[in-house]
Amino acid sequence: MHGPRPPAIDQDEPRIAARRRWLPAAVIVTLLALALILPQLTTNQFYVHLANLMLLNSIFAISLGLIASVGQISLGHAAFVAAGAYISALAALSFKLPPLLGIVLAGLVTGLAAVALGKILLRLRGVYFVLVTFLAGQVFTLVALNWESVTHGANGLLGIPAISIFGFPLSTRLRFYYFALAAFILVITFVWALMRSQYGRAFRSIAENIRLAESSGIDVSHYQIVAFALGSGIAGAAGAATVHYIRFLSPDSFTFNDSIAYITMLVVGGRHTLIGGVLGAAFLTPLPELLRGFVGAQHIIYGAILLGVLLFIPNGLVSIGSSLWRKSSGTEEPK
Amino acid sequence: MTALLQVDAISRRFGGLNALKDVSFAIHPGEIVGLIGPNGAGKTTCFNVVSGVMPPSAGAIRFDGRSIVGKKPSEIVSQGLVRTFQATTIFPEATVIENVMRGAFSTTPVSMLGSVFNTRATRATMSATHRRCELLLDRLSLAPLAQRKARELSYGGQRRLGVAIALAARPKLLMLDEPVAGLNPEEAADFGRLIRELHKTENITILLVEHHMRLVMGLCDRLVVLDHGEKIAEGVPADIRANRKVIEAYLGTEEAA
Repeated sequence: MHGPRPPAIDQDEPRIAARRRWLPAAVIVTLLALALILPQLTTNQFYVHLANLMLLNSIFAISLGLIASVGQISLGHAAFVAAGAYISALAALSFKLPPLLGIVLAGLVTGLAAVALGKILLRLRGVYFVLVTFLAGQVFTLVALNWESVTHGANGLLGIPAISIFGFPLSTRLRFYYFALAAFILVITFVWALMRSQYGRAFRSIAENIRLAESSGIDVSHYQIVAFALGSGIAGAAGAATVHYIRFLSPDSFTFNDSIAYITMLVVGGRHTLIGGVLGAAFLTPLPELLRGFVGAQHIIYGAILLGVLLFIPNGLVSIGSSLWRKSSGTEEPK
Repeated sequence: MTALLQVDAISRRFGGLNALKDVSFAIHPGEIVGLIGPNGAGKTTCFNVVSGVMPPSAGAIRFDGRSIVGKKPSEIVSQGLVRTFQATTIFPEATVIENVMRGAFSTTPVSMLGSVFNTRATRATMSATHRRCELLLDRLSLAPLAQRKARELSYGGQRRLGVAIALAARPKLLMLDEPVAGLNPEEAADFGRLIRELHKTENITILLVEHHMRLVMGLCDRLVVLDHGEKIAEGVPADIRANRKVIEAYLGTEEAA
């Protein structure tokens, strides 16, 4: 009954255990050092801009991954990003609210809105949930377009101030880069801690077997709402941060296409891991720039990439890395 | 003796169909009770209603002195009424030990915020829960497979894991939904012994739905028999075996035959 255990595990255990301890730490320190230094070495503002977008997109993909971790997929994620952006932009333009506070406010309001919406939406399972999030996203875009007295409709909002920290404005791409990097580290650390905790245990249980989760005493609707609210709140706050960087906002800034782009990033990178969203964002953010020559074919290429990933590496780019890691250490990666 | 579970005249209708009609029974602490009946008798509906998966159309259910009608399944579990499922008994992609840790979710007394910050208190509680789960695996002879993915277990192993997940929630009353369905006779007999053993060591009361008559007759102190959604008999196995109504329900009446 007890299957044979590969003997390699027992022999190599101490070496692998030691390697498991130092390797992740070394990788993180190296990446952090590179992230801090690299932007200083380039004079090309465009690369810095791309790095900023990658960091922001990573946050959007990670926050969507949080919602997906309870087994739900939202097609309206960009609506929360847009809502956060409008809240902070309007608060800054109309009430002179400092952008940093605006970002916090945007996160809180979008998070609470998700709680309210979640209480209704999360009764729906599977495809119905997906459809309603799609509709909610479309409705938001239409409201933003037509509520001209507040949003200025299709003309959009101009002159949105940059983030300023104790009077020091983050008005250049490089300055914003360090802010975005800090925000990215904050978000990824928070989500990592969350997924490691009893919350993560509850989320994964629900995604994997909702009935068994319920009969294990896990309050399914509660944790689905927590995941939806946190994911949407992070998206709202990051949307606000984005708008104080781009400094222009219209109903076209964050649309259904962006919701699809976040899903694509998550799936391409690997939707079961935290790093997946980051890899997906890093891979797909520069893509439109590389595809400039193929205007119109962009979505086709996006779709082809998505299909290719689903067919050949269903667990995303991250699974290539982890299978290499398995091969080199001769053991299966613990989940 | 006060009853642990008191089911009082519950009914459940699906459209025009009376899946359950005025069913009453009680389970006392320490008993092993079998819920039996021919196919379509309403056993599974009865199970689902009692465990809170679906509400009764009418009637009252009291567990440990408190009404549980209309409560969420997760609240009912926290009160100590835990069930297993026929088919979906495990978390297939998680390791065996993680499966049991998930089962112990409601009995792991950590603050959720403390768990995010992984405080010292959280770590202590989690390692205590981990030890308790390892003991459970040991008791169900799954300990050597703790780090395997649950889907890699044999069918029998998965059924035992399902029971371990349920036990991790510290049930007062454990409801087993056809625990030996799909097992071969030898495995079924082993499983019967296991249930008897757990009944003693874990100090639990058991209600089980089962088709395997030899197991039910040998294991249960008392049986409740359903047919067409109604209770037709209740008593010790020897009486049930000789009960005319029960024999007719299973074999058909003489006229029909």
